[in-house]
Amino acid sequence: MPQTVLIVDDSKTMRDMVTFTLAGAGFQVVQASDGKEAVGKLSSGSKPVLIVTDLNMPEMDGITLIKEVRKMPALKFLPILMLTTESSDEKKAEGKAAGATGWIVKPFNPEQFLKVLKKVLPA
Amino acid sequence: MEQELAGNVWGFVMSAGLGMAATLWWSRGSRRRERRAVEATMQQQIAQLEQTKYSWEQFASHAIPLIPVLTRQITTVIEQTEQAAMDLTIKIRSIAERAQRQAAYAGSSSRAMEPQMGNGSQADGLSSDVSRIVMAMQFQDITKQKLEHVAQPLLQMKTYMESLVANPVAPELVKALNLLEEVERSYTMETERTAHRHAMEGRAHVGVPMPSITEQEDQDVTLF
Repeated sequence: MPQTVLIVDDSKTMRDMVTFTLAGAGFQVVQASDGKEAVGKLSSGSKPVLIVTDLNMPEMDGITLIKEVRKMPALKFLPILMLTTESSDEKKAEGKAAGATGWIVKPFNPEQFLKVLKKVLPA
Repeated sequence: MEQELAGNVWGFVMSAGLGMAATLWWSRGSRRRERRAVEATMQQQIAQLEQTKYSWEQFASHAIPLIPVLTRQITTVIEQTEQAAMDLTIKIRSIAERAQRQAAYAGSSSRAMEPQMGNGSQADGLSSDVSRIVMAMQFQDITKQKLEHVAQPLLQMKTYMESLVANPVAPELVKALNLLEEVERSYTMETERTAHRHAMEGRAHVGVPMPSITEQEDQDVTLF
């Protein structure tokens, strides 16, 4: 059974690019267009092995999403990667403090992106 | 003698009185002229202020409806590029699937099928090209964000202008005006910060060096 990855981004293009990359590597992908929708999907039983989220989104941003996910006991240690255009150290530190596993600056290289996924996913 | 003296005194008093009256009259007249001059200056300044107010109101009446038109144009560009990117995604998916099929076919081909031997490396090359296209296509999201960072402050300016037109004496609103800093805070990309800095230094014409997306070999990744 394929592993599920939850991709959260308000840009449909980005969601499709990540989906295209992950589907090609055998993952099943669930999409959400902002943090609020992602929390809804997680609360309604979606069990991803990884979350890939953007930072700036309407309704709920990526940092708030991470904080919400970390409050859920079952998802306390779930790997969460930020995928964003934001490259400042200040924001990265904020992401780390919230509980992010890693930070990837857009544009992502599909081959390198999959290598990072292998590193953060449990063997 | 006495009469003469009295006449002189009377003459002196009369002339002094007339002199004083004349001085008083002159000084009153002078004050009146000064007041008139001050009033004229004030009226001129009021007229200038009214003209300035009128000019700003005219500017606002043109600028306020212009802003949503400009932001709509920006949004239309975003939507069109998004549509183009989605169309490209479909095409790329199809190319990638074809590449995978080719690779599988080349892998299963026997040595007897020499003409097919090149297909495996061709498929690898195609896969690498697809990767680069996926990277390049993310320009849509990056451009979208940059345009949004321009459109948002424009809409904010519209709100400020509408408030000022409704209530020209709004010191708290003027105090809250901090558009440049707000714009700077909204940036997420180094290229945006550099362009802002160039413009602030009067070097808006200086381009921001930006490597081609597909040339960015090293992915900016931080694992915590």
